[in-house]
Amino acid sequence: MAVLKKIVLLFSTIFILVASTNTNLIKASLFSLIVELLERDNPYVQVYIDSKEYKDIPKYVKKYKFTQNCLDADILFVDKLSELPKECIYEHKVFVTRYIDFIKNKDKVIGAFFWQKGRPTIIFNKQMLDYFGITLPPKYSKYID
Amino acid sequence: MRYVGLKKYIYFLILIFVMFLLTVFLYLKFDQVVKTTSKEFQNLKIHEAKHNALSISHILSSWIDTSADVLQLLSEDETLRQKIDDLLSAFINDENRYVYVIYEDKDHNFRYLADGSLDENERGFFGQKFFPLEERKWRKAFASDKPTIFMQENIDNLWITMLSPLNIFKNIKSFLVIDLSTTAYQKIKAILLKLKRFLKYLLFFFIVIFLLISFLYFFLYREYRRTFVDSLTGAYNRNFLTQLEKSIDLQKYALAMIDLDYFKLINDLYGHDVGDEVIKKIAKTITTNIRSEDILIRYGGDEFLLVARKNRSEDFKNFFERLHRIINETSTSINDGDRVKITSSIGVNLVPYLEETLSDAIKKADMELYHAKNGGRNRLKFYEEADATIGYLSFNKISQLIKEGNVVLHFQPIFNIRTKKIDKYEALARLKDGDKLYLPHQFLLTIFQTNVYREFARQVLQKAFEMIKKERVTISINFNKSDFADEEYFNTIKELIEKNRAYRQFLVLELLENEELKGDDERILAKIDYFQKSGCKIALDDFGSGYSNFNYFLTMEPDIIKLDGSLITQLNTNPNAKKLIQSIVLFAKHIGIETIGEFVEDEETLRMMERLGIDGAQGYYIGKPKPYLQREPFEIGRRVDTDAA
Repeated sequence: MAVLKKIVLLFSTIFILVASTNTNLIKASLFSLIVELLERDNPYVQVYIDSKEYKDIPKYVKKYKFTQNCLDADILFVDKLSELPKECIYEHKVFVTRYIDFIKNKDKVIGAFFWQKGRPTIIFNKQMLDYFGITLPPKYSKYID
Repeated sequence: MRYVGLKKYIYFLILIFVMFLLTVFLYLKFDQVVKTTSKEFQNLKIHEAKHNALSISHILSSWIDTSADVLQLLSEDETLRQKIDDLLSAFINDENRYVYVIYEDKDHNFRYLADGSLDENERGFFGQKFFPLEERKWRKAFASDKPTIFMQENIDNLWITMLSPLNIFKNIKSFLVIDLSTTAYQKIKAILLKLKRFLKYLLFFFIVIFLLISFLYFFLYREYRRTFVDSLTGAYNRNFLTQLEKSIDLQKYALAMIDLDYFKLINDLYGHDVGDEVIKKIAKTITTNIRSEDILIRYGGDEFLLVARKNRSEDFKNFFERLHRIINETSTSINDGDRVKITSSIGVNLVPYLEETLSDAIKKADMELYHAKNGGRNRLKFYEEADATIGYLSFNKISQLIKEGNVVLHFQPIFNIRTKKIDKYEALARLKDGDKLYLPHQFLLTIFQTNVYREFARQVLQKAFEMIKKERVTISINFNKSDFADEEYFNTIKELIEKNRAYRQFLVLELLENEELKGDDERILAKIDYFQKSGCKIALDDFGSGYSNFNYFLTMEPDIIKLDGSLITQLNTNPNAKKLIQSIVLFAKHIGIETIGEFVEDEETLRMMERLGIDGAQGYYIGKPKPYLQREPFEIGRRVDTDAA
């Protein structure tokens, strides 16, 4: 029975790994989409991530440079906007990971990227898009709020 | 080949195999079972969701003025929003993971109207855009305005999403959405998987049991063949009779004892290898000509027992006659290219069901074989219903009568032609059952070579000695030569003779001529010699017929020879019989052997015997066997007692 348990455990672990890898890949692809939409013409994009949700993104996305310094970053993904240095907020494209932060900081954040009810949600802030002079392709206009 | 006792294993194997197939079928069909169960569960949940949607609709209708602009109302009234969220929260449980209301705005965006989610991060805000994964399905649902359900395959921990239209708000299309978690489904699935696992173990169990029984069957089969099958012929051996005894229905069979005539000569002339080949060939011939439900048993060296089933189109007698003919036509090639043929004698018991046991039924077939051999061999003898009415006794009955001491002796007088006196008697055994008396042919063969037979011989000898002690007369008792091959039998007789040593000179051991002495001749002759040396007299019965020949005089010295009745009855009609008797008497006188003629039934025969110098006469003309000793003086001929036994 011990052997059987080990086998069951092994299979469960593999299943979880595969499943989690799958979720991470979705996150990574949506993350890439966001960066692509916001930094279409910038071949040297630098990304800053301070988010528990997206901390593993660098493992899956290799085409962008990830920086520990928010000042160097073109795009920032943060869980808590309040913990971000002020100089990193303005003139940077900040993405938050909660809807509440999005609606309360519409003058600061360009969008929100979060998971709700198991579904990924991306929302762009029209005001900040305009500020940065970014126009999204029409098919993404429904994500603008 | 019948595998009595092994059949149950085959049935069990078939049963296990069927159960195995059934389990495999169930196992393979199990996914279908899971699907069906899921579907049923899904239907149950849809029903539940519809019910919930209806309840929520009713409540919302009572809270909100449905004719008003609900979006306007909610955007202004946070308390109402909270109230609706709380209402939706009440429907959240382990199964209903998310309960929320989505509406479609004028730009066809999906937005939250209310959300009962308790987790802040999961809760959608009033007016927040909602992006379903499968947007097409949602659009379709909103377009149809009908309850819609779809499986969630790409969202972790969600099983089903159910959309129920809330047709209560004016100007906006809204749906109550319930996301069912996989918890309940997983519970059901876990139970089903347990069942599936159980089926898997059951399959494994059946495979193991099937293999075990197969191995067991294989080993039993091997052991069975070793125990019950004769390695030379492939027929059953005698051990099989014990198995057959338990299962046979004697109503359905006839028994045939088949003996190969003078088989010993084949072994003597050509060697045992050729003998074995002949036996094999005969067994093969018989097997080829019987049916699968018939049973062939190698009963002895050159003896086969055929247990033939009755339901055949051919007349039973014809079948055995044909078999007899086929056996006789069978030839076996021997080393130098010659072929050996052998005849057979067959005794058939057509009515085995009249006996209580298979052994008794075999004895009847054996008895007929004995008659066939005695009648000159190469023939068939049938024991039929008519024979049964003669009154053959069953083994048990004989055994019981003998145990109860119902052996009685009748004495037939032997007349001394020279002295004109009765000087000897032949003791003839009978079995008494109340008023009935049974003759030896009605019981002797049935008990031949059994313990009962030994007991019978002991009682006969005992009673003979009692008469000798009482009357001081010479009494002869019949023995088969082969009786003395049985050590126990010999010791029984020896013991009694020793016990009555003072009277043994009155005892004549009359050796019957119904069998040929075979392999252990010397041993038997030594025992006969022992009795002779101890003072008993030895007589050879039926001399001049059957196996009797002058060769015996080279190995033993009988005191008396009893001339065969068939010669005596022809004495006055067949000159050759007369010449033969003359030569036997002449030879006997020359070596000092007394001669007695049997079957003397008239005076003329007696006179002729006297002229030929025969010493004694025995027959109905002299006197029939009586339970007492008949004494002279009497006038020969008048003693013929027609009512004698």
